[in-house]
Amino acid sequence: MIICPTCHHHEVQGALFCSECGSHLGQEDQNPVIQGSLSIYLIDHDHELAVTDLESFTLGRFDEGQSIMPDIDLSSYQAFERGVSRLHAMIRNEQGLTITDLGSSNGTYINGERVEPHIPHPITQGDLLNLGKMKLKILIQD
Amino acid sequence: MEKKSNYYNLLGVSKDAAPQEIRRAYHEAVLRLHPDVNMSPGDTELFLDIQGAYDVLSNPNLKANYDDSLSANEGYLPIDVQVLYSQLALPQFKETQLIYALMSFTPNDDQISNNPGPLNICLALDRSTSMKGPRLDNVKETTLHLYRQIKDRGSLSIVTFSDRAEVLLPAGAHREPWEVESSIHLIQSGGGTEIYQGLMAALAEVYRLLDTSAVNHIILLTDGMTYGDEEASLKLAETAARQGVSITCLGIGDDWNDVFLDKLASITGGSSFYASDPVEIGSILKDKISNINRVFASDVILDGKIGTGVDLNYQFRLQPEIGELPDNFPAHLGTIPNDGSLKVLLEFLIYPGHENQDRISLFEGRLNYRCVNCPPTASSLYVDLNLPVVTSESLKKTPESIVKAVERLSLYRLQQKAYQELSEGKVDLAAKHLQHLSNRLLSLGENDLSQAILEEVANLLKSTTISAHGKKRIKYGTRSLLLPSGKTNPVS
Repeated sequence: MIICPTCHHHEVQGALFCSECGSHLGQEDQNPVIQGSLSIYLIDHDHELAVTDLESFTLGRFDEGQSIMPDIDLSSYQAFERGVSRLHAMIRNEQGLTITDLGSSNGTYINGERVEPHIPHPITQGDLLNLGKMKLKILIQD
Repeated sequence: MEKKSNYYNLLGVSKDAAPQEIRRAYHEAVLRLHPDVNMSPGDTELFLDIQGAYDVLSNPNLKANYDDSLSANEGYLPIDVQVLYSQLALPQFKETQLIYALMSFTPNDDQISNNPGPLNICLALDRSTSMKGPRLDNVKETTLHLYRQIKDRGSLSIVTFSDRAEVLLPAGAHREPWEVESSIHLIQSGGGTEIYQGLMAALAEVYRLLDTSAVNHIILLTDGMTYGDEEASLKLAETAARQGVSITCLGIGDDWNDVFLDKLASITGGSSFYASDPVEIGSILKDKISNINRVFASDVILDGKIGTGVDLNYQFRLQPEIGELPDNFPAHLGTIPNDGSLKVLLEFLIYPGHENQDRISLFEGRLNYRCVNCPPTASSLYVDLNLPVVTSESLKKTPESIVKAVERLSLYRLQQKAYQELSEGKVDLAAKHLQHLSNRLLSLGENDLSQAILEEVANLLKSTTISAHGKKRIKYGTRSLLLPSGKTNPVS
């Protein structure tokens, strides 16, 4: 029996993807799934945003007439001026903590390096993220 | 040596086959053709021929002599089969397991004759009232184009239907091109949609020129629901399939029954397509005709038995055209292209109880086919899917092609699951699964499709229904992710 790391659905041995949520079930050499609580520290504003839904959430800025809302709306932190896209990136805590750039205009950077869009990249405690010019830090508390 | 009695062709194995494979192929043929179990005339002779072939090929000395007597190209089959598995072996678990197998059937380059068989195609065009306007205009324009393209290459017959059917251009008829073209221009819309009527008339036309070396095919275009004649239409499709006629369905707009047309096509080894906008009709049909022009073998049928303690969960064609396949045998798989492969993904469920075996048989049987662009010396291929059973567990080396195909297929199946739940009134579950699907698509960079799904989820939670447009877009959108290119649209 395999238990899906994302939705905890039970899958038959040998299954490759979860039939409930479509997640990859390969468990080789992943960085660990975060058990504690996660928050995002906005460096320029000296403000910490606690994350409640740990499984998967999107970062971006809300804009009028937009039909997909980001889970975490950064518009009140000068997101527009700093070049954050409406749907900028997604952070997931399955098969390890990862960030995926969702094809943003100004890119996502991990510790100063721009990441390729649409591919999950592992992140960990203390990593410095840039969404465009907005600086964030990943904080994990046990 | 007469070509027909080539021993390798008779057994459906290649000259390279291992002795054990030759033995297994022989056993499979014996079980199928033995006079004690099989009474059909002609099979007894075939049984004796196979017996003779095995007597030679099972004896190393006789086999060596026989191989020397063949020319360099002989002894190889027109089609090569390659099978990849999600695991190299089956671990001895005392619980149910899943195994994926990806079968690829590829033409052997030496055997492409560059002399393709004739085309025998019938277009069945819905001309019901709802087709009026851009739909019918695009259909007419495309029909004219196809007529000009095909008329020198084979037969194109044309049938129009509403609640009854008319033959506009009979198969094999000699007509002046201007006469045909003006009657295409003059197609008038009016009446309801009775697919059975159209299909029946189209089939009658294809039957006129039915030819075992031709691609015998019906292309059905419709924009509406048919009522009450679904069962009869499916029966007709089964008859067509038995005669070697396959069916493609093209649904225009949002009001046709995709489940029904998908089934109608898949019975015959065909696929269904979706034109959300009438302007797409032309490009979809041009692609279709280009595929038909490149057929190496048609009427490809997989027949055989699933192993003991094994179930086939799912069978899906990835190439040359994406489509659901029946999970029972014989199964019509469609066609093998000249310049590519027929690829089929199978998902097997394996129940515990194999602990004392060395190997487990997943499937054993034959691929039967009709040569269109290959020499008709052989018409079947031995197919044997099996895995060793081992005690160790470290076997996780799934080929990338399987991982990718299963990933995309799991998305397609998520939407299927959601629609199934919706039809059972489980709105919350359906919404949850569509939401998951949307998340996965977002992480694959399919932002537009992901967004479209979220909009449908919002609708669903408000009104407990989903729009016909949204439903088809999600279904055919996730399906197109299985194309080799793998994207519904380029990422901006």
